[in-house]
Amino acid sequence: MLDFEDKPIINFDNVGLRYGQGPEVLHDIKFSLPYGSFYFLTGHSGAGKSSLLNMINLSLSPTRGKVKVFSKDINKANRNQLFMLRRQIGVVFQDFRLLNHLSTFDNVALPLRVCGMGEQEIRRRVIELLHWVGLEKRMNAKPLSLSGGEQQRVAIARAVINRPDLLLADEPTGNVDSEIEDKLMKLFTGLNKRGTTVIIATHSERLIRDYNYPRLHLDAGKLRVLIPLQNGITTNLMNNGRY
Amino acid sequence: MVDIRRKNEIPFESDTSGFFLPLMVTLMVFLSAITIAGVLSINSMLSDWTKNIEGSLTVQIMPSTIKDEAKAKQKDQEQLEITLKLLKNTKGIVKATALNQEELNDLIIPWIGDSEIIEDLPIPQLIDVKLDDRYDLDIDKLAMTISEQAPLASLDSHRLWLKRLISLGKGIEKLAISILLMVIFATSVTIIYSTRTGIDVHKKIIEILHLMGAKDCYIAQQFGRRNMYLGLCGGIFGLILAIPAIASVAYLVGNIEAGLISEMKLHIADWLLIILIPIFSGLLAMITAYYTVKNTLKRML
Repeated sequence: MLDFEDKPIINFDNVGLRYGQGPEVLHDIKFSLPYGSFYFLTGHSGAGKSSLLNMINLSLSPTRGKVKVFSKDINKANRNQLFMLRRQIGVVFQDFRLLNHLSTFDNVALPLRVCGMGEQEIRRRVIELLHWVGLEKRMNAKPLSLSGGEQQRVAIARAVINRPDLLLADEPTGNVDSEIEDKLMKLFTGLNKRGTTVIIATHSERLIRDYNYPRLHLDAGKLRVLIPLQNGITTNLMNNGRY
Repeated sequence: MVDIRRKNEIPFESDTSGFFLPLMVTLMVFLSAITIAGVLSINSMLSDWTKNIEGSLTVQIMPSTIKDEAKAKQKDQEQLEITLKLLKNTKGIVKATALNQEELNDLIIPWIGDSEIIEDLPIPQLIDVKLDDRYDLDIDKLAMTISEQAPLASLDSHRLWLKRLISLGKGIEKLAISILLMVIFATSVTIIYSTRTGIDVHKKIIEILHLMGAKDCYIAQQFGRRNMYLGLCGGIFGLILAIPAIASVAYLVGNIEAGLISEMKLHIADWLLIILIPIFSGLLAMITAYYTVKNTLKRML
């Protein structure tokens, strides 16, 4: 049984989402995640994984229901509060979204500069992290001159540079081989052990099988929380919106 | 070696504002500099006219209507002497000089030509009066005293003419200020549209910055800094073009050699003001862009 804290890091309460006048893409989403947890987000393409992640990273508002992130109701937060909350969230986008005119160093430094950190401290932190992800020799390279795997590591480094409380990753291991996939997972579990809540959207059955974390599973816009039992078998923790 | 020179997170060099905005600001600063130079020159001219005219008076003595020429001349001379004596004894008058026939002819010749009929014309006698600036002379009282003691004499203080002239000058000045305000308005509108275009062009990058937690003012500052630079560059080019234009107009005005239109004078303070226009254009570009970005981003989540 998951031990949900009184104040979960993320709380969705009967959330629905539609784009414009279109049909609802997410229905009655209801779940809470405790601080320091690690979840996979699974589901077929078009199931609404990216939409759910966008709501969690505060770039999308729900059409109905209540979303609380860091105990803050995002419908009631003002713009500056939203930006302050976003600084606590690291995001690895599926398409990386690196700034192609900036070097690897400047891309990774971006979240720190946005927070107004001093250049010396930025330099120290960025160089240290780039060593850690194996990109120390590519610091001045522009994203377009990097391989897909390198770009992905830059995107991950940018997401974790300011030691976020919540890390969201949309298919972060989609373009890499199993060796780098394991290395990246080691990075994510390391961050999780230090207290960062991690949500990884993935299609990789190997990851789900090898790393025994609970799943948020989306199917046709509905969400189920699946808790892994031993031997890789999962159980449905949520049924009709009840835990 | 790590190249850690800070770069703009928004790649402004990839959009057209880098060319369009300075070009517009160049034109606007050119127009503004010429307009401001015009306003300052008009001010200077008005001040000169006022100074020249306020410090002097003219007394006019109409020719006597007595038919006997000798008696009429004697009467005219008497009136002139009475008036001159009165003026010289009046406190606040430095000098009173009657214009001789040659000087009177010089005033008339430009209007009717150098012909013999001048001598046959009944030309009034004129007395040029210089006033003491330190003394506040009661002009109305003086005019009354003159007409009492010398009925053929009348005082012309130029005040009506001066009033109309100053009114014309001030009208032109207001028109120039209106043009200046319109130029500032047009520049601001141009900056607003150019900035909005910039926001559209860089929308994806702005979204990424927002997702990293960048506040609107962080993004607005980048647009502001960029526009400050463009506004300053455009302003300097506009000024470089405007200075020879102002000098040329000043030269042409100086060539008129008309007494009424004094030389186009710009003092050091005036030039300083004109030289500061590019700084103003830079600040205008920066502030307008900053608030445009802030207002536009409010609509983005």
